[in-house]
Amino acid sequence: MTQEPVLSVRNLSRTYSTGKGIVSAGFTVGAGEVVALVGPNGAGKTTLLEALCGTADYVGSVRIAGFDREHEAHQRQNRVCLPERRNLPLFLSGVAAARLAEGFWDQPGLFSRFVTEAHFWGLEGGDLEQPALALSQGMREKLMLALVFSSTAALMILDEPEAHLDPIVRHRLEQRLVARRDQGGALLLATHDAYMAARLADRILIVRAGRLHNLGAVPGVEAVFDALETSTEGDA
Amino acid sequence: MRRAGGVSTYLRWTRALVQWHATVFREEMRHNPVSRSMWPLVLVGGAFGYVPLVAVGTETVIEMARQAGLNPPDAAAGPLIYGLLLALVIGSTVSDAERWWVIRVSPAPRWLLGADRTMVVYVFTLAVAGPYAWGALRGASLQPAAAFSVVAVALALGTRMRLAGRLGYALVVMLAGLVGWANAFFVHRYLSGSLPLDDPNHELARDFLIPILSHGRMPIFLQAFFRLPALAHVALALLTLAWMAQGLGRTTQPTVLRTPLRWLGRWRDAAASLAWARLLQVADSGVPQAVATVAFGLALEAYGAMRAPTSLWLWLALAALWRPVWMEPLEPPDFFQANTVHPERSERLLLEGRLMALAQSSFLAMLLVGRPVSGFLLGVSWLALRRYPAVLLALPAGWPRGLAVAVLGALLGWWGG
Repeated sequence: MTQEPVLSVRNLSRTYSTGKGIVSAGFTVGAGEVVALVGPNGAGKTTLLEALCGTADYVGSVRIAGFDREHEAHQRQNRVCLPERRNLPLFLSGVAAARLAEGFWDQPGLFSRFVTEAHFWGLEGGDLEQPALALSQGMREKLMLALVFSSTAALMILDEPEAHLDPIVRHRLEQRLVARRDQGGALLLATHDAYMAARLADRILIVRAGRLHNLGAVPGVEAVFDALETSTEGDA
Repeated sequence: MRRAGGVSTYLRWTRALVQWHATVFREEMRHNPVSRSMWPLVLVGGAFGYVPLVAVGTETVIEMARQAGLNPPDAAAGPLIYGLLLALVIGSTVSDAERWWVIRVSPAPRWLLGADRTMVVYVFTLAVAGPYAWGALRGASLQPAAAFSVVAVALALGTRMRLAGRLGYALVVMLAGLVGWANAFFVHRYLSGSLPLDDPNHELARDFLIPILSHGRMPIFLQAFFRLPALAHVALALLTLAWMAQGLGRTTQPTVLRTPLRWLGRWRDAAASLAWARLLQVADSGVPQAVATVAFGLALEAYGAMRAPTSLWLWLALAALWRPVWMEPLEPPDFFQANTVHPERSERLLLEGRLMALAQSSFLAMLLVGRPVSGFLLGVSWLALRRYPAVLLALPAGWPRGLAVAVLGALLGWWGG
């Protein structure tokens, strides 16, 4: 029996008064699958992810772990997001942030997982006690990735997780993404790194001018660049 | 798969929010030396300085108006409107967008997050705008507790109406008019040698404010509303705040904007904000100068310094507006990163914005100085041109377009009287 996808999107649209946005998006992400959104700036990737993360309104159908929009709280419990606008309070320390996230995400044990995750991302005890203001942008990104990967939610949505990361940490990010997938997690990430997308993703969706085009399983990074140059019609 | 909690989890979410506020406050005090010194100053200064001074000062002004023979409820209209406008503006800048993403994506009930934001903003707005309303109502012998309800209504409307740019713009234009009026008063007093350094009886304040307050009118039905018992106003405030919380809990909200310039640039009506942003860029900002000019001339008339037809001041105001606004090339300011993919569309967008700016400033300036007919004519005319900008777009940019605007404005002002 075919398992229901963790994320199922149908006819999702979200447009601004300028006419830009995302129109009639439809795709699925299954358990143990990584789907990458790749597209030029202003194509609509963040617009789409904000709708899926529940931080912006939209028209259409989104089902997460079998729950539709009418059960929004259930959707939120089965989803963890790292949106483009992080808005990390600058005077909050990593430790304080993790304790708050444990409460707000309703995930007992998140704090202890966070301490382990932070060590993996290269954040030591002293870094976690300092306010975010005292950390570099890259360290703040690692802090937020540690928070997100401490969650056990079925669906993970990441918007440009590779931003501000050095090459070593980018490699660790890829390790974490692969591990998450192998553990049965469903991952949807928007990225400008076509090479990472080609390496990791089981499927790639090209976003151009608010429309999604399914590139399917990617034979190589050149195919991604070719697709970015010319859109490919098809159902996701 | 995790299951969402039931009703019993609401207390848990409330605890989470309380913990959030306590943690943020503690961390700020711990790590931010500026906050450590500013918070006590703000709290003490607000509670023992700003709030009582504004409330008592406003009440005293209404009492002065009563002694000068004005109807106190009518005189109270001015400061009441100012307080409500402040609340509207504050409300229109509130959103969920600047909240920490961890909270925004959490499973917490949306209405609870909205209620949390509502209470914080309401207390702040009550402190900033409430004293004007309280003092005005108390001075007019009306129910001062109505300040709770009117501030709540204005604040809630502000969050729902998404008029951040327009309301902020209107406030700036009104303040420009007030500045122009004040300039005229002090110039007239200085030239006539009656500008005392010591004024224990506040005669200067009375002479300045009474002509302004005399233009105020409070309809009978509003006076009756403001005479309702305090309990009714508290109940209305709570209902309104519940409505506001429900709205703030939704996912789509206007963006919170930190500084006035970014505030004007980032709200949804790009046309008005781009036009205002362009105005701010030039040395002599057209619209506030125009409004100040009109107010200056009319104030000189009001204080008996000189007689001049209203249309003359209006023409001067339009000329002041004409030069920086209409003569400058229609280019969006860089720092607002305007959507200028299609240049011809951006030109139309900016023209519409300038016409909206003209409509707002004309209407408000004329209203401020008691010329509602002129204000209505001007406002409607500019709005009509905005709806059908092809008339102006057909003219070449620069002198021809500016001249057309100036001539039309002068004719309308002369016609309105």
